[in-house]
Amino acid sequence: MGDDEKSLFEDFIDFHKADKKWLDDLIIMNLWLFKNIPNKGAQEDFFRHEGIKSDTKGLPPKYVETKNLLRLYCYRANNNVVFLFNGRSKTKSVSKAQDCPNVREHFHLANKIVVKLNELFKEKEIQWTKDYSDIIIEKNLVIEIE
Amino acid sequence: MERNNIISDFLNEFNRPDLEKFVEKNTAITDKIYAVLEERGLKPADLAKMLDKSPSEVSKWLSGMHNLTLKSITKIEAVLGIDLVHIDAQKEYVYLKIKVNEKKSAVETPFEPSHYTKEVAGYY
Repeated sequence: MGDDEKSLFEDFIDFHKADKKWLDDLIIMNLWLFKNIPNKGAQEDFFRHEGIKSDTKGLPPKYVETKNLLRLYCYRANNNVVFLFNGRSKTKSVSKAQDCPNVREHFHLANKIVVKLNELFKEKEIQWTKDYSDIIIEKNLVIEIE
Repeated sequence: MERNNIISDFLNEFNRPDLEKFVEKNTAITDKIYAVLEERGLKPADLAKMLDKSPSEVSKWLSGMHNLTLKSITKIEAVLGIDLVHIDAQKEYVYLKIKVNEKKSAVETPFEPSHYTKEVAGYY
């Protein structure tokens, strides 16, 4: 990703902030992330499992009312490190993400990235700091996804 | 391009004190419930039993992002015997009437003897 390119999470924010219908949910999700994760850590219960053969997670948490259909896909590496990807509003009538035309693409991409990230952790391309509070990653590391 | 502050930049761009208060209070309420449960050696599933609700319903309530109704909050307050929402006690007003250097409001008029008095006086 070049300096002038948007990250997946930036695209998630830019896409939804332009739509009044989702703005409140987007603000609540970000306020919740901003206030809870740094104070309490990225607890497992905070995320919904969205993985197909991977540890892909989603926000908001599993039990949040179904009215809130914004989905943000992410990867919880541990209590201190969370990778935020992209997402969209999930269609109400569809239960599986892979069947929803809005989120399908982001869901599959998130799953592919998580598989790749796990490989990079195993290969030590991404390393943990001694206390596992952060990761050490090459600044210009390029991750290729097929 | 600085990417470290994507969330805080976004929140600064859309400053919404009402939603900030919502998340703040919601978090405070769920934190207090968790603290009381821990103090009493209880789990959310135990709270679900006490409330006669399903564990998933209670997990939803405790997620910190659910829009808790006042009814749900007071149900939890009742089964745990705690106050989650404090309302200032209603002020009791006592009205006092204080008269300072009050002058009589009646207008003083010159004395006029009544006709009866005059008549009676005429007999003498």
